[in-house]
Amino acid sequence: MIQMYNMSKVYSNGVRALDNLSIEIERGDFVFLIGSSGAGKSTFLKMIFREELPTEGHVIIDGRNIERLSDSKVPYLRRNIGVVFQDFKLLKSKTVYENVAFAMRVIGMKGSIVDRQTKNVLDMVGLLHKARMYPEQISGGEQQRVCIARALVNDPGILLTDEPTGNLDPDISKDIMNMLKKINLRGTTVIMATHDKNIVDTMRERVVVLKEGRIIKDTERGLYSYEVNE
Amino acid sequence: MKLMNDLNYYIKEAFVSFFRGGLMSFTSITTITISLAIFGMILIFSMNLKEFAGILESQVDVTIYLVEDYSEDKLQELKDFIIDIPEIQSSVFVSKAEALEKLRKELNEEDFLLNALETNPLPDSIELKIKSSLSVHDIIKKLRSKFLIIDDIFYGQEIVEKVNRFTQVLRIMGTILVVLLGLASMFIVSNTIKLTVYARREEIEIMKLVGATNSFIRWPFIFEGILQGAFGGVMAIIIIMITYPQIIDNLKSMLPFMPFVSRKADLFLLYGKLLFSGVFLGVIGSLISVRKFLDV
Ligand SMILES: Nc1ncnc2c1ncn2[C@@H]1O[C@H](COP(=O)(O)OP(=O)(O)OP(=O)(O)O)[C@@H](O)[C@H]1O
Ligand SMILES: [Mg+2]
Repeated sequence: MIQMYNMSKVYSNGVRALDNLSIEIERGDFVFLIGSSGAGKSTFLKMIFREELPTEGHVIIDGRNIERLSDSKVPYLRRNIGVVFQDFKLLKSKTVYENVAFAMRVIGMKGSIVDRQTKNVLDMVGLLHKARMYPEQISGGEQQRVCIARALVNDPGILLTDEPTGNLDPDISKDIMNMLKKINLRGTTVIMATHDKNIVDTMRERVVVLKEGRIIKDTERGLYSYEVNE
Repeated sequence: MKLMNDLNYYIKEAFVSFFRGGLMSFTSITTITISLAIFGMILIFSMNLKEFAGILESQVDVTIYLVEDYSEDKLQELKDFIIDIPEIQSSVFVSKAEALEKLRKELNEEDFLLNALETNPLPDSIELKIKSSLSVHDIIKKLRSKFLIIDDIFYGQEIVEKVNRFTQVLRIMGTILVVLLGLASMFIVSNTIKLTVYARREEIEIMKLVGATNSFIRWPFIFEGILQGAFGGVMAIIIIMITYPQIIDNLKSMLPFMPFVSRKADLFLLYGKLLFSGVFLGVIGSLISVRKFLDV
């Protein structure tokens, strides 16, 4: 379970990206995070895997207060969280296969398991046939899917995705959403920041609306809408 | 199993980075090689001086030369005094005639030199064997002040002390030089690793984000340092292996009395020291930059 209490984030340049925000997300929830550009969606996700620390308030994951987590424990928190980054963060010098396998290798997994699991997730995102290509040799949408594969390869309990369908054509984004739903049904908490109205409206999951760093709306089976009063 | 798996990863990464480093790795290794080769030469030099001093020291024999004219009484007095000193193992009186005979034997073929002499120029003497080299000073001082029939006293210890003093000076200068060279090597290793860290900062960032532990991120860089250090050490050893025998060959005819050390055990110990120093430099160098620039 993810809990945030009266949490604010002020960046060093003085921007208040999140403002006194409280929320609880149960294990196994599927949450869409929507809001206009600059509303604080990416920052919200960064608070969960402790890329940023809260300026005020608390972030608690599975009962552990993560701002009190010692530096040496942070890696173990992150192993349970898969992240699909808005800017992909793929390594240009590594192939698709290596980019995914890398995430397993660096947490000390054995070669044979790495190989099996890497092929498994690449197959899941439909990119096994491009495993040997480099990120620059594949399309933006494909890069995004590599990023999803990497986030899933360690079988995380929490999956954070920052606009994972932004560059995907409708067919593929439907496939990706089906895949995410399947993973969610297996018990993984999925939090997805998105601008994609279509997807949100078809999925009918919990929708959290952010505006200037505050939660202005939180609906159980919501629709894509910024308005406070529908 | 887990450890072997990780180790395998670290070493592989270190090698990849090492070869990718190209020119920087090369500079790093060259510096370490030069530093260690100089370090090795200094070690060899002091090893040889020590050997030389040791040989001199083992000859703690003292020779007391007597004045030209003296009375039997005075000689007896000296002999009695010597017998009473417990540190003296034995003493032998050598007359001037015996001394000449001995010299003749030593010169053997070239004794024509002595035949030219009309009188025997050698004095009578007493040869002492002393149990420990430590007491030599006091005994000699005492003898000199007490007995006027003593003309001069010769002993190896004097030379030993001179050699020791020289070794001391050499050691201090050598240490300073070695420390400076070591610092320079460390600086260059750490600089090389710093560039590697910089070149791989994206990779490091992603490693952190997917949950790699700090030590897991650090180890490949430390191995890279070890690799550079060990490589430099091996090169220095090769240089010494090739040059030292040649130096001995060239100097042997000039310094026939010098006992050049070439025992395998001594040399292996020296090589061990060089390799260890190389690895040490590499580890410290990489630790410095990993701590400073890796920020993990
Ligand atoms: N590292 C940072 N340093 C300073 N300010 C930042 C930083 N990251 C984000 N911000 C600011 O915080 C606010 C929220 O940014 P955030 O990236 O969370 O928005 P977002 O909702 O993800 O927007 P988008 O939909 O464009 O991705 C913005 O005003 C942004 O300029
Ligand atoms: Mg964003």
